[in-house]
Amino acid sequence: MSEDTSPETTGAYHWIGKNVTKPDALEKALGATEYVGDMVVPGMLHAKILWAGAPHGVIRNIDTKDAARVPGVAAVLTASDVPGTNRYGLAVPDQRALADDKVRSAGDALALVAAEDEEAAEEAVAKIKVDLEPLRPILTYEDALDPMAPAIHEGGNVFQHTTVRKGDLEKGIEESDVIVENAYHTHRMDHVPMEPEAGLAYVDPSGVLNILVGTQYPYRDRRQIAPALDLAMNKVRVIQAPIGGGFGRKDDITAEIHVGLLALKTRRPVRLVYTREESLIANTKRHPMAMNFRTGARKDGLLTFLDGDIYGDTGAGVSLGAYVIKKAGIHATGPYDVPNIRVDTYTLYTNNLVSGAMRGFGVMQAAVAHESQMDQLAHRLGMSPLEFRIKNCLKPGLASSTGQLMNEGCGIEATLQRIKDYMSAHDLRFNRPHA
Amino acid sequence: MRQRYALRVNGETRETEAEPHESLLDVLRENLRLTGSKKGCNEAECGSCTVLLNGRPVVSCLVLVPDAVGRDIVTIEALAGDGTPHPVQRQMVEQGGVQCGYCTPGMIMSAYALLQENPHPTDEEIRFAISGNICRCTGYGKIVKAVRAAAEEVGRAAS
Amino acid sequence: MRFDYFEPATLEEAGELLREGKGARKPLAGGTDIVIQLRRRVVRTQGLVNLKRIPELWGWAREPGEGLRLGACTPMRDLETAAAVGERFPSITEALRVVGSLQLRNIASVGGNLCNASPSADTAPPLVALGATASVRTPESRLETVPVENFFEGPGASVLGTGGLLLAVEVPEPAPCTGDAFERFTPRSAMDIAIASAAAAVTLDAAGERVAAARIALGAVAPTPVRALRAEEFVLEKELTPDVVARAGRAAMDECQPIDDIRGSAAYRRELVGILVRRVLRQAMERARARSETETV
Ligand code: FES
Ligand code: FES
Repeated sequence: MSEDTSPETTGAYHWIGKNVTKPDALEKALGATEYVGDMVVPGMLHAKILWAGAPHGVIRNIDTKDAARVPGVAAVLTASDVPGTNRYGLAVPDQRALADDKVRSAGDALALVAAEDEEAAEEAVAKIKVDLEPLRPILTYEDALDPMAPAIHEGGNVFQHTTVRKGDLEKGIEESDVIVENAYHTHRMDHVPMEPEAGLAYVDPSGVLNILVGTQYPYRDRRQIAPALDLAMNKVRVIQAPIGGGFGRKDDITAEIHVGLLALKTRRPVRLVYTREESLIANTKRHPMAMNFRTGARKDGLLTFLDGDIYGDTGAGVSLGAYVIKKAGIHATGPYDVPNIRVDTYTLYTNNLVSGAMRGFGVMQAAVAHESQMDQLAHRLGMSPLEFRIKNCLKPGLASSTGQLMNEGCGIEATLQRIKDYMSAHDLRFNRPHA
Repeated sequence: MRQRYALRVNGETRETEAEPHESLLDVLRENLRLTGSKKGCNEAECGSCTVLLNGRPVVSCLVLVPDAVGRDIVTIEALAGDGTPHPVQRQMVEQGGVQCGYCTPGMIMSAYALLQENPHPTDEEIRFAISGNICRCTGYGKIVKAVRAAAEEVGRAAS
Repeated sequence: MRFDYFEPATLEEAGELLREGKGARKPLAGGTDIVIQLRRRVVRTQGLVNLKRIPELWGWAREPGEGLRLGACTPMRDLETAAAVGERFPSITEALRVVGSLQLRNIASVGGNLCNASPSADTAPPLVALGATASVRTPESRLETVPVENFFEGPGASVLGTGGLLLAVEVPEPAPCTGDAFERFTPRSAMDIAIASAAAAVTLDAAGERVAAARIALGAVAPTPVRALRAEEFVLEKELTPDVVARAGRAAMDECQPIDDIRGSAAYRRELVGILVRRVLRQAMERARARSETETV
């Protein structure tokens, strides 16, 4: 191999290729960084949430009388105590801060308690009585697509349908010497950031609601908090606290509206810290997807077409699901040149937990399908899976499924070439794919 | 019933009131305001609450406070007690072993305990020693590198 | 999870406190199971009787030729790091190394792992395979000795009932030419609970060829840790060739009674039993051979 004269190696870059220590790392290594769960302010109350625990049902009544009588309890709130729209959501405001008419997923919050200590708050939560009339839960893709199934939100259970079209599908099918067709399912996944969600809110002397939260996006939080609580935008201040891992899920509202509401109602600072279990049952996950792919190739190893459907389960709220699932469709061909494409994606409401952004944002789910298809096609053609990929990858001048020109390529060819060099240098081989 | 407990924390005796069912972690964090030890799970799964009890790393979320009475408790706050970060702390920073930082104190306590017992660990021994500490950010590679570098540094200082 | 808390200094006191509780108090050793169960409210109690300050329940002793004695409250990590244990009873060390995390094993006790009576308790299969016995103090203060294999009565239930105490576990000195091994299967390599596990103790004849005695124990594939008696019988007086070992594995698959649960299906567990039994038999045999060589020189 020729000598590496890239700027990374020669030091021509100022930052790239160098170790840069993070300015906040030492404080973290000393244990001195205060995450929200570590903060206390004088007079602070502790909050706890009553979660629905059931996927779908009509709320007939929530009785908080006994809970309010627990010593040390400062407030017990339900949806009727929310001054604003009670709605939030990143794509559309389809999530309730506190469930009002219906429970739409087990991770819906039904009531909030603020008390002098966590134990009193917990005791009060245990004393809230909920009268829920169960509805048929929509838990599978088939349920969500069934036009006779009850609608989780107004407007039905198919939130969005997107399409990708390129070339002439029929022609692609005709030109194919081999075609593989498979169904792929990926599972729901939690980000499990090491810091469970937390928030601390207080109303300052000028009447501004301050909310400390380990969030990924304070301004977008504010745009959702203000209308939900009927506050002017300039009466809400979201303060970015250190964030103990997010990986996408802290893009969404977590504790913000709940602590904000409690602070408004009690006029005292309120802190809410999720347990790990709460973190698992509430807040967004990675979207499970069902992908039906049919892919073809010619004897000479060139891909001919992709014909696919992708169904994404976004749960009881869209969050960023519409974008995530659309993106899975756009990336359904992976980094390969496919001349003829039909891909349809469907963003489906279910009564499962809400799914949203997670590292990879839909691209990983698609990769499960397209890379498996590539392996199987290579196998059927009797080609090395690596050569097959090198042959089909997006090279400079080719265009992606949506027509974006790869003027300088997208790095895939060089990457695959390096893998090839490495494998031959180390005498590594591929396993045969499973039939 | 609330009781008084005298705990030996970071070389000092600290008096506090707690219920016997409270965990050492909660008492350290809430009563003594030593919040360097984190609560990632409260069920012994993540290691973010690791402290030393009589020199050994333990998950403080599972230690009931009366059980800690009469034992030496060392928390992350003591490691740079004299103002100088411990080599493990410094190397975690320099080698990029710290990202969100939430696992970091527990990770450092496990690594510190290892080096106390075994000043020249192999990579495998380092990995074993931190296998009860979950980090969701780094992928562990840089943490192992940091512990190795810290061991070398301690070794150099000793020779 | 409020409860009364007691710290008896003697066994008599502990027994008295439990008796007074009439079943509403529970003994506490390492606490790594019960504290979590209390916190999740799957177990309730009016009082915990902490046994860890009772000196007789602490520590372990290994005299060559006289087996191993473990006090019930001894932290797992003490035994795990004891060379004298690992040399003669490698299956015990292998099982200890995979229980929870190192930080957990510094608290958790061997006795507690047995008393919790989980079908998947990692220390149970090796102790059963090695023919260990449990010293038990009954609620009536009688001392009894129970083979560990008869200690368990079902998930979460043991011969202790309410009010009994496990004092110690005694592992007999193995016969010459004996080797033992433990293996379990978990999806993660750390911080996980066995989907299935197996341990074997194999004694070879003087020539180091045929099996003179064998005990095989399985975990997480029945309501309690169990022996694979048919597999044991099958290998007796045979050479452990790959074929014999594979057939022993199949025999064990047939005699276990696994269930479907969140960790794995019954069918999957059964497959694992076949593989794990094969592996532990082979490993135990190799260790027995190595031992017979050192013992004869
Ligand atoms: S908080 Fe103790 S191990 Fe996770
Ligand atoms: S640095 Fe974020 S969990 Fe380890």
